[in-house]
Amino acid sequence: MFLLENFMIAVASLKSNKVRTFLTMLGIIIGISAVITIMTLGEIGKSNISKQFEGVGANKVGIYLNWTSNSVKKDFLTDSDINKIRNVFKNEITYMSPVLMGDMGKAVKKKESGDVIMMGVNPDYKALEKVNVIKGRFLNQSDLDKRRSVSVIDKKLALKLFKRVNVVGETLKVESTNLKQSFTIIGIYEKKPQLFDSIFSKSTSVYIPIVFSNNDNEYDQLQLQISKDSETNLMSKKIIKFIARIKGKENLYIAETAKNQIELINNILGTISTGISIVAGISLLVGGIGIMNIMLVSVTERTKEIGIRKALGASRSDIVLQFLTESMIISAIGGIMGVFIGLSISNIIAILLKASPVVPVWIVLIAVSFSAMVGIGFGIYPANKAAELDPIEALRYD
Amino acid sequence: MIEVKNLYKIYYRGENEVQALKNVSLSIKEGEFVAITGPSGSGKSTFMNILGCLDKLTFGEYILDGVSIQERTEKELSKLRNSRIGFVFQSFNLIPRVSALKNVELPLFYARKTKNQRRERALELLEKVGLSDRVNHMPNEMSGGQTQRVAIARALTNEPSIILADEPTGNLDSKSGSDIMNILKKLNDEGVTVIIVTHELEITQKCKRTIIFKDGELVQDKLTSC
Ligand SMILES: Nc1ncnc2c1ncn2[C@@H]1O[C@H](COP(=O)(O)OP(=O)(O)OP(=O)(O)O)[C@@H](O)[C@H]1O
Ligand SMILES: [Mg+2]
Repeated sequence: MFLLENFMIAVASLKSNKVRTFLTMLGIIIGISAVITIMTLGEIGKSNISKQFEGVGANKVGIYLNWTSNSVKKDFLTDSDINKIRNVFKNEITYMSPVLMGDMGKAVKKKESGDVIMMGVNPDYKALEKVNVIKGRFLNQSDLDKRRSVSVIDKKLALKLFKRVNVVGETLKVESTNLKQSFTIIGIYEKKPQLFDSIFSKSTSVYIPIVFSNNDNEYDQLQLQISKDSETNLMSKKIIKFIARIKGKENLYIAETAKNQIELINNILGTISTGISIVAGISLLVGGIGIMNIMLVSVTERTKEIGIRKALGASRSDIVLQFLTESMIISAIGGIMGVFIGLSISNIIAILLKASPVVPVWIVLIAVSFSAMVGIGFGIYPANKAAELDPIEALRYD
Repeated sequence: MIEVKNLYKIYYRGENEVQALKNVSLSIKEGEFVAITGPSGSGKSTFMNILGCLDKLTFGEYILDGVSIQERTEKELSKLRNSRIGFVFQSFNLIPRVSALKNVELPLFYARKTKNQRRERALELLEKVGLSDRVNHMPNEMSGGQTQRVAIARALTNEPSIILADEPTGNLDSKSGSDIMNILKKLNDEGVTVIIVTHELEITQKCKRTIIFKDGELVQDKLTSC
């Protein structure tokens, strides 16, 4: 009861100085919304990235040539190297496809065009990358054996060039810097929207038989999936060692597992968001100092009032409570508004990035209790100062 | 009820010290109507503030209700100020931007009374001082006399047994001043102890007892026939 009335009195007092109250609150609003935005974005990033890799599978390994200035032609993997790997690890590798990423090109159809990346792959790639073919089919072994000029394209590209999805049987014309090629479209795939898609990838991948894009049959990149029974990291090390043996050179290739990548990205995200959070935390601290400053001014302004209240029987704790309530209301309302703004900003950004929005309850709880702590922490000194005033001196103050 | 023994109040200002009160001894019984007078700077306000537990004495003893004030805790002193003593100041000292009603309710608020109890009591007291039609006025919307009557109502809310009034009529015209004096007189008739500081002879004549201070010393303490 008494607390509630104290609250009402504090509200009335804060209302009598609306502009000042709002400006003081602004410090907390900015601080809390910055903290919430950063932390929520971090959470959104983490959960979306893990989701993305879940689809891909954590037991995927990419094997890449470790390019150096003295890399030579015979360092590339050949078909016979790949067959050797397949034979030796036939129980441990479920799928394997060399990958040849071609130059950026332009697929054209009359006036329409779309940026494409030509990806030379083999039939295993469908299972490796979980390519979702919605019309027609993916590449098969006979496409490779017969060196057919066929392609599997993105639904987005089909819509862009042909204004419809089912374009199986049509011809895809691709122009890159130095050559023009034509492919029969044999399949359409659809990609799940991914984080950062809208910003970074205007171009789509066109899958073509790897033999077609690479006449020498030499590869610097190998995607493979390790069977569930084997330990991904251990196996990838073994494969790297095996390649070193058949190529007669140590550290020629490096392996990247999806797990490694998730960890790496999470680490980077974590570091970035911790860094920015510290800055945001500092702005919250500045907001708190703002509260303290205004409360000190308010105590000085109301010195006489404090004297009167003491003469009428207000105890030390009554005065402390009065001023502390005010500073806590400022920081609590500021905190709540900050949470609201922060969640809005971060989730709008998430939606713009095509990531699924997140409302992390623990972050909200931390932010609200933190702002309450700021209110108490920075309010206690002015409130104490008010309570310590000598009643006679306070009454004499003008 | 009030007993003061060899009371000293000394202000230390760097090198020199000001003896605001020197060796004051007196006692005041319940129901008395006492006027304190004397030249400016003679220590009257200082004495009142000590009686009202607002200020601390330097030497000597002040016994209120049989207990020495030095033995009381801070909390007990607030409680005494809240319900045992009612203050009336020369400069009214209402809280600005707070209505007459809320000002009168304030001591009840610190006595943890409920909203309804406070309201009822405050309205009753404002009626008693003749301000039923000014309950929602702000201090700056009232005349000096009205303001001081609100202050008296406020001093009375917790039914104190002592009213300490430091020049309550000092800022008022003679008509408002005598209104205030009549209210205080009536209170005294109801049994409340009233101690009043004044420069006005007429007022001292209304009181049963007059105490005169000079240079911090009690120089005269006589009963007046009224
Ligand atoms: N805080 C203080 N510091 C130093 N000296 C003080 C202080 N307060 C009062 N005094 C001194 O104590 C003496 C008594 O002051 P007090 O206010 O009690 O006088 P008074 O009798 O009430 O005078 P007046 O009739 O003008 O109100 C004065 O000499 C004054 O200068
Ligand atoms: Mg005085």
